[in-house]
Amino acid sequence: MRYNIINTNSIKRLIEEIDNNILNNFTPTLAFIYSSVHYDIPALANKLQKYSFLIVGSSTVGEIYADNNITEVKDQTITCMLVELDKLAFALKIKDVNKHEDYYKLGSKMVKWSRKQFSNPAILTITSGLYFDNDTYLKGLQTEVDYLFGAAAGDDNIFKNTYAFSQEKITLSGALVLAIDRDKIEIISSRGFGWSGIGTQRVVTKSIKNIVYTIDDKPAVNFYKEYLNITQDDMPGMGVDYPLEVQLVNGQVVYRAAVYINQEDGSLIFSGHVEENSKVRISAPIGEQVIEHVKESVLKSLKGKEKFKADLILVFPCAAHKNLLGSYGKKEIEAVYNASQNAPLIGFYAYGEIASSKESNAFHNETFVTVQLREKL
Amino acid sequence: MKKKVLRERVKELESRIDTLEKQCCKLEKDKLSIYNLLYRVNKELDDALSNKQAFIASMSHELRSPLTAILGNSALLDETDLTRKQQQYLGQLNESAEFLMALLADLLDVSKLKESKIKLNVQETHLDKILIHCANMVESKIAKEVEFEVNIPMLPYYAFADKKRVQQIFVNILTNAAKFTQKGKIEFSLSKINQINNQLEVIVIIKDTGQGIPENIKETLFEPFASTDLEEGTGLGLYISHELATLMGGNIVVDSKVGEGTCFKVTFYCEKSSLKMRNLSTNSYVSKEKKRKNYGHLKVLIVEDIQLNREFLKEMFKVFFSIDVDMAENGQIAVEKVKEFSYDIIFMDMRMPILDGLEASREIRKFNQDIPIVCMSANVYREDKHEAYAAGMNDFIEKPLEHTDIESRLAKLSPSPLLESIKESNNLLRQMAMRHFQEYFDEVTSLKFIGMAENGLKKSITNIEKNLSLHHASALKENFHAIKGVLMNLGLEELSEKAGILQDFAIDGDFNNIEKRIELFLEKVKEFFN
Repeated sequence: MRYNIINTNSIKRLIEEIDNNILNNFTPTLAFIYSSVHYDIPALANKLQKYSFLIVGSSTVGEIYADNNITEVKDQTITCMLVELDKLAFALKIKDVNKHEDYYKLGSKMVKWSRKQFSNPAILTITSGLYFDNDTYLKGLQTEVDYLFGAAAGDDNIFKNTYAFSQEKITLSGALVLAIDRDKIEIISSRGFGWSGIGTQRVVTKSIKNIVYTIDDKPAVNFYKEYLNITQDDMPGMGVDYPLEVQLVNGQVVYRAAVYINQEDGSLIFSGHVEENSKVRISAPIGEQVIEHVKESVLKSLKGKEKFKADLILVFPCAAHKNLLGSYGKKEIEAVYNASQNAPLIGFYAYGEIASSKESNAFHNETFVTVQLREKL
Repeated sequence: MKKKVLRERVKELESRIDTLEKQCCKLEKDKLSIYNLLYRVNKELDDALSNKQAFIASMSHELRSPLTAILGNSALLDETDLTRKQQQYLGQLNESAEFLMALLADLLDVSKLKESKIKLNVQETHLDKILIHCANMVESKIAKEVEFEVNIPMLPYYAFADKKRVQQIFVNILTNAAKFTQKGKIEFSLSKINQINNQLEVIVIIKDTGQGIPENIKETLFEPFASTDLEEGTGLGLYISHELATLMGGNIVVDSKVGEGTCFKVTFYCEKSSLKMRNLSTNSYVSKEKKRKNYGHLKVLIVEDIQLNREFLKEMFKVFFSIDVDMAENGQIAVEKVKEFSYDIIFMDMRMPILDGLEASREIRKFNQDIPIVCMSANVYREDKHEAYAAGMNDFIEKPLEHTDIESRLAKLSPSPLLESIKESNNLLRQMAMRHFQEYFDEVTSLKFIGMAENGLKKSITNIEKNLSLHHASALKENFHAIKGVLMNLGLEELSEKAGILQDFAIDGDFNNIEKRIELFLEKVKEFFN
């Protein structure tokens, strides 16, 4: 697989670099372009219209790449990876959520489209992050596909405008899907945690989607106030650092960052759904060991597949990892890069991570999703 | 001059930036260390709590064995001639032992609930029958002055629910109502069932005119050891009921006024069965007189290390089933005995010195694939059952063994005259299914259902074969679940249970064990089409 990674501080420079690559007889079939909202992303998407290769684009909370034993975690840059893979193994679609249709329908339409492209597809999806019901959309996608991964776009922790984009469209309220033909591309994915529940488990007694009204029949906000003296001014920062550990009724554990307090009714608004009757605890990061956990998740996914050598690694860590680790963030990426046998790597810090097998909950917070791709010969 | 000052200023600023960077780095490191400290301390506390739960579970287990013997022997004693005084003493002994046994069962449940180790064992069942059974169980505990009003309508359909656990919820609450109501009324009503697609939201009300719950207890009513009756009760029942209702997707809401009474509203969810409709014209509640089978001809081997339990079981088999059992005090002796003699069935303890029940079963299976082995254990976690099945055991009985437990196993696993007669016919499975359907429906309807089930079985077999070749665990889980349901509807309980075991293996992605069993299982199921 031929590839090239570009990291730059200007849209103009990015376009020049891509053009130079093409002039030098490099014909990419696919590009991942991750950009800080420091840049005019609609303008960037506009400039990309001239290219015919598929573009997976997202706004970020930080850009990541690794190549030739160099690992970089960047702020306020544009990072791009151009790759030359079998053109027939990928198809891309980007769509807004229609005012008249719900998120579930958007998901099921996207998956039906993917199944029309390939009989055995995997889906990489980038959602517009904020103002998007990721859980419901993913449930729609999960109806007909087993392998699903991706992320929710970020915006440098500003929490205002988050974008998914390709050359054909930019969306503030929609999703991009890259359908991948699993008959042509082999995929191994993993999800690492790094947070752990503390204290007593309680029960969510009233919730609707991502709004939790009561925990143990008391206003949800009281639960957080017992541990941390939070006010709206501390949100979403504190809510991201100390998310809710949610044990779903089916036994699966997910983490949900609290993003907003409704003082009027004492409810808390989370970054993803928290189902009624789930058992919850407050959680905190496990310190530097988070790096080891993420590395282990990658090594575990490769167990028994010793011959697998990825062509390309995609990573989608939660923005919380960046906030937690600070300058140690680079170590985490290095660990994943080394565990994945130093294949070229690109990714971005996100507001939500997506990874699932058929029945598990697909939307996550506080996790680190790694996807390794290899072209089948 | 200015340049020099400027240069010095730049140098100074660079040095300060360097210091700040170092401080920042130190702060980051400190923050990560504190998180690590918090994680470690929390883990230690979690582990300590978990050890406490494990200790409770282990003690409950250890205490249950001697208690089983006490209860069993007092049942045997009750069969002998006793004076009135002796009967009175025996009654008190029994009552105390039963109380202790119930307390141990509650403690075990609490520790399992705390560890999230209780998994619902959902089976197709009559919801109304379960509730009526609860009422019957508690009726004798209600004071004579209290009116007991039961409003449980007969439901025209079956539902998938965990019979034992649903029963536990209501027996606990009804027992409480009985204890605290000395006059007036206790109402037990199936208040409402809301149906959303195939999901049933069941709402049951238990209302009494008892003494009510004081405000200071209401807050902690559903916490363990927060009993409404701090002198007598264990304070575990309501906690267990609440947790079980939550596990079933529902909850329990209580409304109470001191001096006026209490109302518990229990909500839980279960799935409506889509395959069978109950024939309302048939009165399912009319008890059919059971034909007592004679088991005296059976050769039974009991493998149990505790002498007291061995003696009790020996007496139990003799008194209730006219069987002279053979005994082995550990797995090794059992293996040797099975090599030497021929048995119809083995009841095997799980934990034993020298060679435990699991190892012994594995050994036996090396040279005898057919003999039914029933595991007897107080370890009732799902993984224990799993281990038992994986070791080659066929069934599992939770200790203490009761008369009905043993009888159902003898009837199921040993050759009965009925089964023998069916064996002589052309298609055993079809005949069993026909017999099963004809308990509820006329011949035409029964044949129609058999035809429908046949299609279901064929479809499931195709799916199982396909998904097994793809090693698709989650799809296989669904396929085994589907075939389990069809087999149960056909009344083929043994095969249905085997499908359940395979489903459990699929949940764990244990293809090794699936592949070991699948050929035989499918071969058996395919006999239905012959």
